[in-house]
Amino acid sequence: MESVLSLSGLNLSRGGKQILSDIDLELTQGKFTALLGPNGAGKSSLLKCLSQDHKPDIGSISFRGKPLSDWSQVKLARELAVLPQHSGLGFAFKAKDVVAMGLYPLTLSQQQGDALVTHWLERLDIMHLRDSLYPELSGGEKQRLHLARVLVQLAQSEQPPVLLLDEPTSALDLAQQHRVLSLLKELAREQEYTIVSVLHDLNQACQYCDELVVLSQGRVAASGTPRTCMNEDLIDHVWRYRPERLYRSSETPLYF
Amino acid sequence: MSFHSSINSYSSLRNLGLLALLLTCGLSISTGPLAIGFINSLKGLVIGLVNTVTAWDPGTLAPHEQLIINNVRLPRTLLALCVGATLAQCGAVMQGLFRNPLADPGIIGVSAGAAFGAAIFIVLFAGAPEYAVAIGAFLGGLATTLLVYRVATSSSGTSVVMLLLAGVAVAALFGAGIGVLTYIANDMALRDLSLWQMGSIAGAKWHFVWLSAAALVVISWQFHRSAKALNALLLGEAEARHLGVDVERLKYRMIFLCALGVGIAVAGTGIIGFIGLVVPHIVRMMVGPDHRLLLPLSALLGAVLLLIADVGARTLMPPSEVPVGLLTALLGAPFFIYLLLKQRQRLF
Repeated sequence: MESVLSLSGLNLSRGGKQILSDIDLELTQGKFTALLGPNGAGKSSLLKCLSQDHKPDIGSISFRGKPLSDWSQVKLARELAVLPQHSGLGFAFKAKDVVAMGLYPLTLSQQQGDALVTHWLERLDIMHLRDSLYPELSGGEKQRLHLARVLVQLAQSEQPPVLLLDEPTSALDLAQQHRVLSLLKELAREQEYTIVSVLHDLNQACQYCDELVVLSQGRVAASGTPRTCMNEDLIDHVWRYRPERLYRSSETPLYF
Repeated sequence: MSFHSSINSYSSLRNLGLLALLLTCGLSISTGPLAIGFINSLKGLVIGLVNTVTAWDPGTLAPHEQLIINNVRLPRTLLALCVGATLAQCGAVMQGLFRNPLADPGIIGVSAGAAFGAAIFIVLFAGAPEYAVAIGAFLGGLATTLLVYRVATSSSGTSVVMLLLAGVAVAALFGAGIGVLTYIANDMALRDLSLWQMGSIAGAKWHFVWLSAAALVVISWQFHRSAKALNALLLGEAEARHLGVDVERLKYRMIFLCALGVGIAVAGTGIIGFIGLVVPHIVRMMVGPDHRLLLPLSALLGAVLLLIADVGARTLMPPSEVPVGLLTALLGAPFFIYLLLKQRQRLF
């Protein structure tokens, strides 16, 4: 499997506090990877290093064999998109215009752009909101809107693109959480999107993701497929909570 | 997609704006101690514009009428047009840059900084050529914008409270600076200074008209080119960067252009406040916050509003004139208070 993003010896400190220590990771193309860990473990910080919002103290990140910082901004934007945890937008854009902001790095005609925006509004089940004003939307609606925006952004990638998501389902109801996660799984499986997402729900991560990376106090505590890496001892060790394990027939185990 | 519906309403609003601009230009030229009919004013406007290039006179108007138009009312009208359009666009861009609808060159102290820069040249370098005054205004405006931007903006965006407080502090600082200059100024410079602080389009000179027109063309062109990037910037700096916008370059280019526009406007007319606040706000209510539509329509409405205000300044208390800056402040300040009240929950 081809490594798309590789991190080696990554260390990050903020305000004198060590946030990430000696992170080595290979993220392979077409895999949906969950970043897991308790609050403050460094999940979002790791994602922010990948999105170049934080500059690591030492260590390197390369994207398709080239240092991430050597990529031109527009070219990188077509290949790698970032969905932050919160998106502030105080001005009253229409929903579809927010999604259309994803067209910024692309070279599409007006018609092609409109069609692309419509496509993702439909896929994310928010077509009915297209003319609503952004500040009047609910948190979950805004979240899906921004997901649509970053998916629009990746429409002209030269190779299967990378999607970095920080808790993409945190404001969604249960049904929408499953819809969004299925969509992401489908994008990884059928179009070889490389997806890295911070998630909180371990069971959803085990159910939808190909790979798990568990962080604890800024270090990688475990990584691998859900079956090989997740177990009660790990959860107890990392989250300090002893779960109960349930088995459904031939499925990944569930932890409560 | 129904994006085209807003495009349609945009083009009808733009046509309406162009018509209103023509009418207010005619009104501005016909208004004054010497009555010139409205139709004749429009004719005189065209002849006067041609006269800037070549001495052509079909004799439509009496020679003294055409003389007044060419030397007094036409430069005044064009200066109001350029300054109104410039201030409104700079206001819109600053609001985008600060991601806050309360930013305005007057309110955040940029105009005061520009006035201080200009005042230094008027007082300390008496007899300095007028372009030096414009350069002083530009530098003053640039330094203030950078200062306020640095103070008020952090990685998480711009704090309204910090923005307004920084504006107050900067305006007070430069107000005091202008006070010191007033104290040491001679009578001639004193008159210039007081006029500067109130803002007036009376006594417009042709070379300032050309300077403002050139500034207007440059900033309008550059702003238009950056409209999509400015939209993306409203999402947040990190988000805009992830979309491929060179955020640092965009910010400093916009700050430079705003300082250029406001500096030259202030050098030509003194401090005229609130155009940059009120106009983009009204336009956003009509077509939304998309800079591709917001900027050209703000330019049109800014020009129309300042022309109307200037006609008002000439007619309210004849034969003397009210400084137009006082008029825009009288109308704009209550509007600002209204916006503050509307935003009150978000302020703290």
